[in-house]
Amino acid sequence: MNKIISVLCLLVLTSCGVKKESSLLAQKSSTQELEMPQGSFKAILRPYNLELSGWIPYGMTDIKMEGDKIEIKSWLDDSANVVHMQNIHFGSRCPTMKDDINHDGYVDFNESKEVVKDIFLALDHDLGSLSLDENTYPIGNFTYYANESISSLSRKLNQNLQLTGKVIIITGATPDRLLPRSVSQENNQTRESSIPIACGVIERISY
Amino acid sequence: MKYLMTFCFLFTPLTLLADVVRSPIHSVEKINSHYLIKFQNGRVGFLPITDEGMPNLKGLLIEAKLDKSHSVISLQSVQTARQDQPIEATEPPPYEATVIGDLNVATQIFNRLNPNYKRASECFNRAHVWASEEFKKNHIKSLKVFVLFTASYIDRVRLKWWFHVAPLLKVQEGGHVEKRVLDFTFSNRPLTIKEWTDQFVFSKRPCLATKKFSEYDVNPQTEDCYLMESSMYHWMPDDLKAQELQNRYKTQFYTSDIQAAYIQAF
Repeated sequence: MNKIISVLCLLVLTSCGVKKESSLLAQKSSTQELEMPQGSFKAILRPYNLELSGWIPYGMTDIKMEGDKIEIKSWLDDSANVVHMQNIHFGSRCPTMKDDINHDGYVDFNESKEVVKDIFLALDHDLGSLSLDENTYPIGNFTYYANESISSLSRKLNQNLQLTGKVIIITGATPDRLLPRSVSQENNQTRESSIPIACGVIERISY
Repeated sequence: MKYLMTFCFLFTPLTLLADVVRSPIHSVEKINSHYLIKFQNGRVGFLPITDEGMPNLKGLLIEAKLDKSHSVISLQSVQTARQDQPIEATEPPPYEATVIGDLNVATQIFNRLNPNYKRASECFNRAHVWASEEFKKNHIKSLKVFVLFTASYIDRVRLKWWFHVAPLLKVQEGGHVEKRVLDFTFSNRPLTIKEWTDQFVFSKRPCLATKKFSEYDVNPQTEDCYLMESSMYHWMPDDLKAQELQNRYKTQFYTSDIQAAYIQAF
């Protein structure tokens, strides 16, 4: 009887071990394609298109990637109580006045996009979506926080979260700025809500 | 000492959205139909002129609530302001700023400035920490450059601040010494003084350089802005004023200034 019990116990233990091992293997194979970048990153958000508010806006974005978790904190100090779209773009530098192609005195959204390229990640209330819904972005003088699983965010974006060197652009000026028609608009937004006001390049600050 | 007097000009839900400024008052000027209140921390507030006149709030720590166009919603004194500490020198002390070898070195210095400032930090606190850290760690004696906006310019563009300050370096460039501003918050490289002021002076008019704070304080309507340079030990415009009016010169970093700067800004 003792022998039978021992054999049964051994079988149970072996099956548990196999199950655990196979689950680890599955996890390993799914993460083989997705890198898990780790570390802390910072972007100093500096103003451009300087004449758009009573005081020029400035801010900061801090990103921490630890284990499978990404945490994003950002803030902007700005007088304009409007929606500020904040997006990470694929480019590697911030626009300057030299990028004002039509020489109207503004580096508008389209001119900026020539430099900063497409949106990689929208920093809104639905991290990972690219819906660009104005209502999901912060407003005015804002403090923003978001966190997400790195693996699920990578799957949503269908790419690894390599952030170093990418560019954050913040848009949005008050409607009373009445920008000229030469200033481009993004989707159905007004010229004032589309105009970029601040930019920063993401730098790694620790591993 | 808390609560001496409260002046409420508008009590609406607006106060919930108000910007709160806690600072002693530097000065009050009449401009058009209102008072322009200049707070020591650099912020401004607009208050309509009334028959009662402007209450004397000098020497008190004020809590002001301001709306989005910087109009004062309420003013309240919360305690007496910090007393100035004694400053020993009574003659203009000699001050030799370090001359940096070239612009590349100046850029290296710029790139190592402490980037961990807080939201809503004040420029004079950031500048003081940057200057003192560079002195402490690398023995670099920098200057400070203050841009002082006139009441007429502040009123015209509804500017949020009446001054701005950043560290200034002397840099060897092409056989002569140039000056470059290290304003890490607003630019990504050392700027010439004109490039720097152009960021804040939308008219692009050059700011009038002066060595006397009173030149700005007394007759401010004809210019958009004034420029003053000082040693790295000067923290805020009151130091410039004390130097001129009371022959009180700062000749070192004061621990209390540095501590206050770190607490507010980093």
